[in-house]
Amino acid sequence: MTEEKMNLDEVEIRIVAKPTYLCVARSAIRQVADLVGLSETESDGVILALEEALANSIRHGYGGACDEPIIIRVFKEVAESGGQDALVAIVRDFGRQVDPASIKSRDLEDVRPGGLGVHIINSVMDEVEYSCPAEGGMQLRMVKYFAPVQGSGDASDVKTSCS
Amino acid sequence: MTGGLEISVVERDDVVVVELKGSADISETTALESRLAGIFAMGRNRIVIDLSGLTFTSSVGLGSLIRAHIRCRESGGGLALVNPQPAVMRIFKTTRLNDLFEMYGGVNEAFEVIKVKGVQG
Repeated sequence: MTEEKMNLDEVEIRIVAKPTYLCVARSAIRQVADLVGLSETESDGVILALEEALANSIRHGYGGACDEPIIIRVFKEVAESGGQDALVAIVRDFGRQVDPASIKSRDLEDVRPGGLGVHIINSVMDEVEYSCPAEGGMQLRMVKYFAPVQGSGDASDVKTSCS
Repeated sequence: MTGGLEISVVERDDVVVVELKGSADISETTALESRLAGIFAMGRNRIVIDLSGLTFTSSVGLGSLIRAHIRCRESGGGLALVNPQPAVMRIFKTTRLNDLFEMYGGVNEAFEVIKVKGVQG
């Protein structure tokens, strides 16, 4: 995925970092996913990943519910030729920065509550990239390719970067 | 898919049947945790949770179910889940929790299995 590609149908949603607003984001993203032609199964996955990302921003980025913003950008990225179109979802908060390399999925054999969110995101999205923008906060960029998908949707390409 | 989780609790014999309708996201888990804690506070450890009306759960909802499962198991009881919708079942499979929980197609079937858990024959 390169920055030169044209982005269609971009939607930006800004919510305050409170759990009660997560359903608003889910509903909006469902509508966008439907509009750009993602299948129901793929939409379910994107919405679940988004939910986990927003919950992580609230709990870990901001340390709990607060009036700080979370910005969600969703758009269809059109492949130039021969590639696959994709839905891209970007979650931006302005909370605590963590080393992206430290964001890891836990071992599923270790049965306990908590820690499943990162695994879910990595499992349902095709690409996942955490970064620490210079302005502060965290950014998570997630990509879901339109079917037919390479593989089963396991994020084989997890990138991390800090500026 | 909107917010809101309806929780209804019915006791049959010594089995507690919990019916969930709606969405178990981070904003609703406090209510779910509270209802489950109330069940354990009554000394009950055999629970059937009907998921047929659950349209969405995030990892925090799954965490509540895992916590309840562990508590039932460690106290000699049991917990069974009933009829998750396909979208919810996909989340269980993604997290491999379908291997952890006993799942049944109907409440009565689950009830018959769970009611004898931990009962000395």
